[in-house]
Amino acid sequence: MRKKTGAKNKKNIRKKTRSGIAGSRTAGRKKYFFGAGSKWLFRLASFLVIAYLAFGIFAGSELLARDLRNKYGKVLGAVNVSVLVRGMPVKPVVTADPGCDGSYPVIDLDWADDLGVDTFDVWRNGVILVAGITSSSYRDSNVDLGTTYTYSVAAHGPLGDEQSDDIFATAETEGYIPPPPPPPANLVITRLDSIDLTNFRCEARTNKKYPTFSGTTNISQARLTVVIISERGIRQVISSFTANANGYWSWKSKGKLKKGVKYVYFTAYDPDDESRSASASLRFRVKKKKPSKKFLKKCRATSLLPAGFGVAKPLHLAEGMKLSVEEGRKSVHQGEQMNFSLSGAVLGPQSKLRVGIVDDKGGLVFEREDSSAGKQVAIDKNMPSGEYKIFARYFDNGKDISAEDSFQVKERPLLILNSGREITSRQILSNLGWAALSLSGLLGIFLLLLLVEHHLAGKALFRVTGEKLKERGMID
Amino acid sequence: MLADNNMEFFSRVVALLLAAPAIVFGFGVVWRVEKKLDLAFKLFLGAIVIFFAGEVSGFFFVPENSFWAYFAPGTKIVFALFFLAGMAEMRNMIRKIDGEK
Repeated sequence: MRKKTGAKNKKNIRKKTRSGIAGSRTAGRKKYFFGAGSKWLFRLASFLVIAYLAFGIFAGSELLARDLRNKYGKVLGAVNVSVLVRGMPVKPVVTADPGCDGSYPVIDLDWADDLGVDTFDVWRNGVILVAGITSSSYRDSNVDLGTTYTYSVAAHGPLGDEQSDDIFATAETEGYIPPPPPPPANLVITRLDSIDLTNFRCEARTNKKYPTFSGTTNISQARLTVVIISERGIRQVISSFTANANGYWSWKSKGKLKKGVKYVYFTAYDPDDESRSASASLRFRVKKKKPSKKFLKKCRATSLLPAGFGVAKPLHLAEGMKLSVEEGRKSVHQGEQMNFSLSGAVLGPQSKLRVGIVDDKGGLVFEREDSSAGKQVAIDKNMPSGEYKIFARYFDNGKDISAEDSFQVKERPLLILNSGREITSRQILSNLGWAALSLSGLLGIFLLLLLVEHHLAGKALFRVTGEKLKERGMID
Repeated sequence: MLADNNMEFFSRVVALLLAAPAIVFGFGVVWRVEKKLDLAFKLFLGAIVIFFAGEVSGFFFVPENSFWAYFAPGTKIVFALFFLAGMAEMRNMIRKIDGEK
């Protein structure tokens, strides 16, 4: 009885709503040709199209094109399916064909097409290799030479599943071309201060007590060691440093050289294979006077090898110190701590290890006596961004032993995005115009919407409460 | 990896673009209603504002063990709390109106 009364009330409320409140609200509204429902559908469709295109911009047009192709293919597939009668899947008969893809071994699996099958799973050694493929072939490229594998294929169709028999295949060695060994290492000293050694046939000379050498090697990130010996055979300077990714290196002697004939020996080691190395040496003279232009011009020869090359026999360093900036972190921000490792330092009781930083022009930026505070250097927050070298150095029995590694100082970012991109205050300032315009535009739209909403709310005749909703039949 | 980043970025932008008008509408409702309905919608509005803040913070990388490292996960919890409180308030109001005992 109560239920019936409730239903009657509901009907009355609905009638009231249709004829009264709702009716009066819709009376003044503009009528759309496709109706209110079509209008919202149109809006939704527009939003989806815009979102789809925006997705294409961010994820790449390839993705959209593939998606469209897939859709087109599916439509064609649907047309074909309508005339086919699909039965139970047939047990796949699989053939395996070992072969090579370039220099890598592969095993090609093939089986017959089946209209009663939607997807295939390929199993290898009792474990699934790939699932849900629709083609009737598969290339297994993750195989080891000479290894035998067991394959089977499972066919899945709407009316059931079928599993093939196991077949065996061995990745063949025939036709396999192993990757070529790396080329023999080489090392060339191309420059001593102002002299281009690749185009010089006299004895190299310099007037600098701290000469700079540069050169190239075909070993990327090679670790180089250098020894400078005087004519009397007294070892004076020993150091180690790192070439860049292209094999270019530049090294300035930390030890002061006296006047006279010197021999410099460079050895480059492959960081991945210490047995792969190359050496180069040079005989040069330290003089008081700078080499004259006349001398340099006289010694220039494009067709002759530099006189100093290969004069001294290569010398492999059995000792030495190695310094490396914290692995995988060759750049550091202003104001941060930089960690480094130091090995091979044999300090005598009188030896004092000094650690310092030089800029790309060789100017000393910072130097300190090493303490037990750990192998850390604080990068000054005002240090200009650019390339720097960190070095460690000590004296032992008249030998000047040093090691260095290069690193980059980057401007401290103001923001780091989740994608890893760093934004510095300088970048923000240089793009301040459009960034401010975009942000203020978005904020403006938001505030405008808020203002419109507030204005509309102000026009309300009364405040809505739960009881009011009940009165109006919104809540039953 | 790049596609993943793009997808994440795109989904975040879309979420923000959808959340912004939701905040506006939320304010609109709060300005129009009173009593329990007002409180419920204030809680929903709080939830969407917290969600918005959490999505914005997701654009930036934050170092571990800093306040901001806990901000994004924290917003999720606060969002859920506000949403739950709003829903509970609305449920209580409706229960009161429909004459439940």
